[in-house]
Amino acid sequence: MVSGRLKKLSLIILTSLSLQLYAADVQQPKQVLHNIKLPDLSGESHSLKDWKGKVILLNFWASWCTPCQYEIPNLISYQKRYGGKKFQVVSIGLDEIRKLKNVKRSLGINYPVLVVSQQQGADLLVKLGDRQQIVPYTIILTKAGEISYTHQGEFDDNAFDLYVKPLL
Amino acid sequence: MGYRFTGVYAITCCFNLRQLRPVNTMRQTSHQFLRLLLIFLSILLAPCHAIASQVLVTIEDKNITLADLETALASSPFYTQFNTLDEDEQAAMRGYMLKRLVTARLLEVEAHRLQLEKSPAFTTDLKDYIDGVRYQKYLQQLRESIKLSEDEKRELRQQFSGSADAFAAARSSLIASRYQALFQLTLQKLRDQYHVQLFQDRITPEMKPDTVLMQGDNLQLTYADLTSDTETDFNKSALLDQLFQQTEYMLISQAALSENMNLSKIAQRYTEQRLPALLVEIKVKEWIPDDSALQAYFQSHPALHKLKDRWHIGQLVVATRKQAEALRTRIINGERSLFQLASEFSIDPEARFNQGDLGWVLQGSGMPEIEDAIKKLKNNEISPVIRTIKGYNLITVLERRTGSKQNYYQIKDKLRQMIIDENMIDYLTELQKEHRVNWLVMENDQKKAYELLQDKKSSEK
Repeated sequence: MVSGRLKKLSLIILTSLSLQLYAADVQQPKQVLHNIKLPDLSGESHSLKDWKGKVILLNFWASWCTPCQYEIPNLISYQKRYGGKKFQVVSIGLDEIRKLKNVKRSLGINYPVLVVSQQQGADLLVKLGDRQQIVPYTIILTKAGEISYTHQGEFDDNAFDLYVKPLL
Repeated sequence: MGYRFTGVYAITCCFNLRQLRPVNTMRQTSHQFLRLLLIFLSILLAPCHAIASQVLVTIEDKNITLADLETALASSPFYTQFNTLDEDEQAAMRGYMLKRLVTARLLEVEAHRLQLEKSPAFTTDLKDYIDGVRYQKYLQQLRESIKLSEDEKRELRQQFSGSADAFAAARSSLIASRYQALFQLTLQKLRDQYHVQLFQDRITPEMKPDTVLMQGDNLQLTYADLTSDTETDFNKSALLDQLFQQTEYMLISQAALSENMNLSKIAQRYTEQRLPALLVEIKVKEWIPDDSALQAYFQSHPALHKLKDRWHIGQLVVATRKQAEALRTRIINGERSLFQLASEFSIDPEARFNQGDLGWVLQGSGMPEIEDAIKKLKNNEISPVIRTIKGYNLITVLERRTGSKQNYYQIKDKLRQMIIDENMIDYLTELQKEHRVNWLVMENDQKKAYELLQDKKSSEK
């Protein structure tokens, strides 16, 4: 009898635990972004709070992805022209640190490159609305930290004029 | 220091820089010295600190600048990968690309000396090419004249917000549907303008090669223009297709001609690329006039009659024995495969690109230490750590094929390539002597490379 009650009790505990886990798993993209804590290329840990109060262009990329490399000169130019108090490009590379460092040096990337493993990065993309896990993927965050736009594929001047400039 | 040089050796082997032989300034230097020189040329290591117009090599009065080299790299299919390489690997790649540029320019200079640009083979090629470009540009202008209204653009943006690819595809599809109508309209206008008449009813089995099938102002197409073979196989529907297509091509080309497009730069680029290729075609005909040259080569090279044993090899190379042992333990424990670890840790760029898959290796073509180990290994077994000049290697054999006899017809294409390769090396060496090739990039850094070589020698003692 006692063992039967215990079984019931453990079942309830397990169910509530898994529900909690499920709830944690389906957190809103905004929460996911706020919980991100990733190292940059020199190992220093960052969260998006580091750029609080700025419009953030958050760009997911990988060194093997040709369209990602094509759009990097655009992002460098946005950071150069608008970076400062109001605007910041932040990128997350789903790749080996060595390759990311080399691309940063070769193309002269002038904004932070955070690093995540391919698997973790793929999970992160799904949680942030990129279900097909396509890179490049770009998220625009308002000064208040709200997601205002998401973009699959190359981010170009048209997209910047339409979705970033009005927020600055 | 040892680690760095081990890595450098692997890179130079991979990109086959051994054949780079600048004649004028460096003829007496050893291969090892040349390899080091290329790797450590400061300009190839850090071109961003140099000036784009800086001349790297001169061939007669032609210059190859740093900008030429960077343009060639940026337009190469491996550019994405190039950016992910370490600095010394990129320098080796620049050296390899510079060698290719020098070869092309050398052939171009020689082609000019032989006045190939005046040959009918070249002038016909150039005319056909420029006609084709003019035709394409005219159609491109037509396509670009189609503008979507602001409302249409807004609607598309709303519909495909957030997906750049879907937006671009929808936009292209909308433009393509309008383009077809515009194209037909343009064609009709041109037909009227040039008073074109088509004589489809003259397409009969009895027509002669000079039977006129299309006539217009300064335009004409005969049966012989439509097909090179007027003797056999009369096919009316195929001839009709040809008649419409060629009329369309002639009309558009004619209209494009009146647009006065400036194509001189395109013609110049084509000349730069076509002349070396034409010279090579001529030389190949000289070296291999017919199949008897291939047969003679086959007879005089008995080693080619037998295919050697082949092994499909997986390989991982690292810089230290300690690391190699640690990785071997991880593979044997089933934690990761040799291929997964090779893509992450191998210091041999070739092995890293191919995730450790070296492909099929012929007996006698690899390093002796590796071949000895292959013979002792069972398939899919991981070798003990093997020390080679490349570093500390782990290998596995995926599959083995024993050698067999091969006849002339099985390797005819290979024979052709072997004859071309052999002759080309000698021909290029001859051209380098004939034309003044000045490796300015090397002179600047000779001393530095020499010092590095001395360092290496003393550290080996």
